[in-house]
Amino acid sequence: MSEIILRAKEIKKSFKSPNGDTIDVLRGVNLEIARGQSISLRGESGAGKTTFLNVIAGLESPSSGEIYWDGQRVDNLSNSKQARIRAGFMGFVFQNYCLVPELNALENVELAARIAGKFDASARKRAKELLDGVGLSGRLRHLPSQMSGGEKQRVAIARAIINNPRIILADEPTGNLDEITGLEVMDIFLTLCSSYSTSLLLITHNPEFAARTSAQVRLAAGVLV
Amino acid sequence: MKWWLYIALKQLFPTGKFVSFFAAVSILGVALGVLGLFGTQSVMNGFHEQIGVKLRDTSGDVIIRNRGKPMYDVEPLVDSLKKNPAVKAVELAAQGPVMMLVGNVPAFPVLRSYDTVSGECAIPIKEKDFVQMGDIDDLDDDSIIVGQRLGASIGIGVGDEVEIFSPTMLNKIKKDEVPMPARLKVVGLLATDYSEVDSNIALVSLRRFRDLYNLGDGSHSIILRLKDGVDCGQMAKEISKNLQYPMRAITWLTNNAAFLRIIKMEKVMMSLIIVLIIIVASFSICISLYTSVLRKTREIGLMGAMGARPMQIACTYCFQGFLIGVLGSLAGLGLTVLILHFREPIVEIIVGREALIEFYHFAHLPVKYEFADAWRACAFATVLCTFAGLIPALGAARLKSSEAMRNE
Ligand SMILES: Nc1ncnc2c1ncn2[C@@H]1O[C@H](COP(=O)(O)OP(=O)(O)O)[C@@H](O)[C@H]1O
Ligand SMILES: [Mg+2]
Repeated sequence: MSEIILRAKEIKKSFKSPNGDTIDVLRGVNLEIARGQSISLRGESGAGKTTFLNVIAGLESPSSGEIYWDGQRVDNLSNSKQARIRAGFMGFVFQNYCLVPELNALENVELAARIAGKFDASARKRAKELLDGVGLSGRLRHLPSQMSGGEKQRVAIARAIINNPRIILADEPTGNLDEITGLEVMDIFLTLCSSYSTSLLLITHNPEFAARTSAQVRLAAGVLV
Repeated sequence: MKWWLYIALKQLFPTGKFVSFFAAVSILGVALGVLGLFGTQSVMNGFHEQIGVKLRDTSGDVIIRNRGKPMYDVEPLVDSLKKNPAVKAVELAAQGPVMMLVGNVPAFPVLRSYDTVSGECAIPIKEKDFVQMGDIDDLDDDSIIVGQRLGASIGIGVGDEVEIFSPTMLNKIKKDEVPMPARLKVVGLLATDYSEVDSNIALVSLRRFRDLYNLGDGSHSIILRLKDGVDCGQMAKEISKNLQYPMRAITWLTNNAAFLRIIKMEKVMMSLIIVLIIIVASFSICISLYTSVLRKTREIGLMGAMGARPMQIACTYCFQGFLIGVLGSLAGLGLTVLILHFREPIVEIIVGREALIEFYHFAHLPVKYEFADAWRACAFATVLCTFAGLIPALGAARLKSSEAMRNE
């Protein structure tokens, strides 16, 4: 059996709604992602996909359940310990590109390396290669405000990969893009992930994209089906 | 470089732009506050020092008095004081108010004596060229040197004659004698640049003064000028020890204590008011940074996801406040020196020279930079700006990545 990069065991998560009742969003989710494996996660809006992603990323603590990164249990670690591990272990791509507006494309990609404490000449070289890889070699010095949505998302993809993470969590990365651009971006994304053999958890609405991952799951009624 | 330092710098000085609008305005705001504070303090210091010099130059360093009564037979004391190595000059002086008539225009100056016989003088009339349009050596028993502004106010100049009536002449009237005023010729104008003196004082010879005041051989005070660097207070104390009660030696500082205190207080009060400017500046920095935190909620959330710790995110904002404080302070100091360098034309335009002379007794705006003032103004501004960054910083640090990224 191949190496398990990320494991979620019996994850439950409930929120208190403003009027006092509890909403059970996740009711015992189990998931294993192996090295290099890509999994797509679908589900209706409000099904709890983002919540699940946040929980396994350690951005939100589960109500109960266990989370393992690279075999290490992390749900019982402090936030800052999690943050330290996460910097080199995970990459993120979100629907909103979340680029820092004061930084140009290259600097935005490098920022991830800086935060992970891995910024040096080779990181800069790698950032340029990655931007080249996503087809933005001519736009290294462009600010986010000078780029289109598709270009911004490609920068975000390069940023997610720069630290050579074991896994990338992507939450509807093409949600803000038109069909054709979305297709292009997803192409680049999936190709990059497989060429770096990075595992991928991809939340998407698009069945075509979902079909291109090695496994597909659906979140419904708080459990994976 | 720490990444949070890098982000802070980039937010203030974004790529492709020299400086962000926010940073420019904030730095300017702090600079203006520091300019106001440090500038005012420097000018007040200048006043204080200048007034000190003028007071000292016009009143002498140490003054021995006999509770206002005339002193007689003080020659042995004067001789012994002259032998003191710390003493530069010892002057027997007398002074008092008189009425001066020019035609039928009266003035009521204070007459001060000058010992034309010995030439001994405790104020630097000669060294500092206080007498204009004439010379102190031209003064004799039938002449007078009037303050420049006094002369101007009653329209007399060198060569004119004035009549002097002293208060003691009233005694003659009581005895049914007719008092004859002293007719004195103006031989010079006293110009110390200190309007208190220039508009109130006239100099006559000691002999003439004694005659006017019926003093005989007496005098009102013994004025000492000390060598440079001698501690006036210490000296006054030592001298007082050997004086017979009620004679007492006081320094020019004690003599003018109230006036000097007012200037010091004015400095404090003005500083307090101007401190408000810096506080207001820091408020707007706080609000701007806070807005920036709200605007960047998602980016901050993502930094958290990428492994940034809350403490580091907080540092990003605190450091921005700190940096604005430091740069604003430095710019403020620079501006202060620049503007005060061109203070003469600026004052001329804004208030006019006359106002300066009228209210502050000087013809020129004095400035004295004190390191402590600069240091305090900068430290105050920097600390305040850092605090201004602290509130947004805490806000940013508290953001939960998961919630921040849901932010629309
Ligand atoms: N902080 C929260 N407090 C209360 N309810 C929340 C919170 N976050 C998410 N939810 C609820 O959890 C459910 C799942 O949300 P989400 O994970 O964003 O769905 P999806 O990403 O699948 O569209 C929604 O019904 C939402 O209202
Ligand atoms: Mg979602």
